[in-house]
Amino acid sequence: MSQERTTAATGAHVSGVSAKNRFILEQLVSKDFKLRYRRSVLGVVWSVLNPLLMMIIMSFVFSYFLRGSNVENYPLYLIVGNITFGLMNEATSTGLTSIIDAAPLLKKVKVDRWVFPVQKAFTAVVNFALSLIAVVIVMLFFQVTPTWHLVWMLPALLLLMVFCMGVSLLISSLAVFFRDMVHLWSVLITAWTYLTPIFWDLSLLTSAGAPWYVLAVVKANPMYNYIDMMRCAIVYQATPGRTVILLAIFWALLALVAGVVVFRKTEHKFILYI
Amino acid sequence: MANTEAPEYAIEVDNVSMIFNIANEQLNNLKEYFIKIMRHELFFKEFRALNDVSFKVRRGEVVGLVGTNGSGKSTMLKCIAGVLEPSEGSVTVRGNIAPLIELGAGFDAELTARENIYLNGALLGYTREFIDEHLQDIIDFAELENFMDMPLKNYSSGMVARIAFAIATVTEPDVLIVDETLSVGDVFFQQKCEDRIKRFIESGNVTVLFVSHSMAQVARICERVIWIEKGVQRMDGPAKEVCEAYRAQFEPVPAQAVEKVTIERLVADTADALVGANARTGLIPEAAPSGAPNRFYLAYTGMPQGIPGVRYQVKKAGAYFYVTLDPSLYQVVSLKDQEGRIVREVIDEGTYTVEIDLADHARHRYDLACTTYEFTVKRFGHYADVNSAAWYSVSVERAYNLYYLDEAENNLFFPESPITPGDAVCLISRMAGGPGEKDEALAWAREAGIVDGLPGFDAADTVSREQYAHMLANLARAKGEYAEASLEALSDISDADGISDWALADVAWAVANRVMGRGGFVNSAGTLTRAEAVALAVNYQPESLDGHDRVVNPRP
Repeated sequence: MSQERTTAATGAHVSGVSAKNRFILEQLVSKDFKLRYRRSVLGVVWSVLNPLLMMIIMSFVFSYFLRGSNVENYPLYLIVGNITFGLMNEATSTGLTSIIDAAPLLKKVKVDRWVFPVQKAFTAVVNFALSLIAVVIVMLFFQVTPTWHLVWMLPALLLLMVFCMGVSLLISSLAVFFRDMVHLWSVLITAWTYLTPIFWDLSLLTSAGAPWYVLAVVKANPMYNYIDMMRCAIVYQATPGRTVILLAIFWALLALVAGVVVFRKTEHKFILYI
Repeated sequence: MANTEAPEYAIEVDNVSMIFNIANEQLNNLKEYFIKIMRHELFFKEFRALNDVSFKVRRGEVVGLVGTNGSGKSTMLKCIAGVLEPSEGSVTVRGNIAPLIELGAGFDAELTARENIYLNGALLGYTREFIDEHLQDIIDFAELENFMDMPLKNYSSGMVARIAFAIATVTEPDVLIVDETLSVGDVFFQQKCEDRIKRFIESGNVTVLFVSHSMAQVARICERVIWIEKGVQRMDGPAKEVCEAYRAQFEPVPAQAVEKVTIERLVADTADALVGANARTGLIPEAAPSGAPNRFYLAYTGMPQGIPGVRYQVKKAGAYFYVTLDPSLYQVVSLKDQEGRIVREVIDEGTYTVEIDLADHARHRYDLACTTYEFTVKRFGHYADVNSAAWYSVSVERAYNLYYLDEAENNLFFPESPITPGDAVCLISRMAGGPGEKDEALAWAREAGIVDGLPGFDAADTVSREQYAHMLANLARAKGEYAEASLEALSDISDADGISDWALADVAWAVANRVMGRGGFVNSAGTLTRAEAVALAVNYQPESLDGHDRVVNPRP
């Protein structure tokens, strides 16, 4: 018994902080994932069904009004935009309250606080990955053959994740001090949905002769750039434009820096407010 | 672990201060915040939970942390556990900590026990391989083999605590923090936990920080004790010395001064009658303040001065009806002349047992004295023939509650029947605190001069109103409360002409003191009924009326 104990003791604890956090992240993501579909009959299938159903209903209406644009495969265009925006929406909305929700834990256990907002981005990516099955189904249905451009998905996804983590770090720490953030964010997200060409196309704006500043706002919009990169990889099968790539990198870094700075500055006060 | 290289100290606390800014108001939204900033009204009060505390704990040392409540022990522990960051100074802990402070933090009620073990293990810093390997150990120790795949929400709190303890202690930690308030599951499991902690201590490798209120326990387990009081480190030294010094601060209360506390009175409110088991033997009920329905009071004496904590459990038919276990719920009573009272709501009829023990919570002395007492709650309505709408019902109820009356026989009171001289004497005797049995009451009445100067009293089997007024006046004389009243008071009596000469002064006294109702009749309305006698007796003791109006005899 004592022999066992000593061998056990040596390997009991993880060797470094990063390894510990990785395991915590893993466990939290798996917890979120398990709880999401626990006791639902279709379970994980919903992650696939949800974007599919949304796409069918939206393309039923909007495909007619987009006739004039240069979107070729509207359902595919729509579903890619939807799930990409959905990834950001889920990651930031859950990230927003992640610190507040982890209050019981933070008050009792020593654990790195950034783990919680960051973990939400990972959970959102797992869901995104499942939604991709829906994209594959749509591609098979419309007999779209992917090309090597599909690899652009990876940098797009990576940059979007970094962006989401940065935003989550920022807003989750603000939400600790001002619970108004929770309400404000849901308004912002709704506005953002309309500002981003998810179900409409940029060509509609240009053909309607929208002024330059409207186009500038839409194009500078971070979500436009991530969605455009994603669409380049899956829908257009082309290399994303240089501006789009640079803006996507810019926004990701900006969000990350802002998030980390604000989070670092405020995190030691969290415990007094949660 | 490479002990040879490791520094000597497992825990180093250097000049730690913990300052909380307590906002005067809680500001949770932007609007409030900006308004306050604009008005320059954002004030904070500084609260120092810890003030410049420093100590070092050697590897393998067992150190006790003592201090009264709110002294900063918990804040210190949280700083060491890494949950709180000190405002000033630094805390260094070498090695992994098993904080047995708050078990089960990070458990999710929806997940199964197995899933929670992994989640909690991750938070404690275990590796996945380690948990895989020791899952069975944890399950075995928690004795919950068959419940592993059940969501935690279906677990009892004891089961949750078992799992949590099993995870936290599955491996020998470098630093173990044990809070005395930790109690896990049933007695057997507690023993098992204690054994495990003891083994850690005996191994000599584990640094233990032990927090307790019990000096005996601290002195037994720890070699060294640190005493923190109001955030300031008061002492740090050998366990024996510090414990003695800690105890010395409570010296003003000598332990031997505590004797058995006795319950003197049991007090009921008007809405419910409370009948003490020893109703006839010295329990004198007292009127409760009005406007407090459904309450009972227990008044007690014999408590040492300055001990404000009373813990009590009320059981009904063996089951707990009301319990104060949480020390913060200790009833704080104002103490005057070593007396106190407990106020609690009573709802149903039945026999209750009260177990009272006294504690000096501020000084952490518990179980100073205890006593058990039994009482019965009865709702009014013992007398089937007393209509609650009748003018005398309030008086009869009062009198019953105050033990002026016998237990009902066959549930009947006969309110309209003439009262016998024996019963009248008995009633007055009880009211005055005399004996309750008829023969003894009569003897008492003769001795006290209650029946003096009553022509033909012994032979009669009824009592007239003027005779009764005379008896009450005699009682007042015996108690020295009698004051001659002007005969003008008689003008309030409707048949003043018919009053016997010898009774004039006493009836006038009764009317002037509002014992007898104005506008009533004395001799022309027949003999005194039982209900009237009770009403007059209650009128005589106005303090017992508890805010109710005096009952005025409405007879024609």
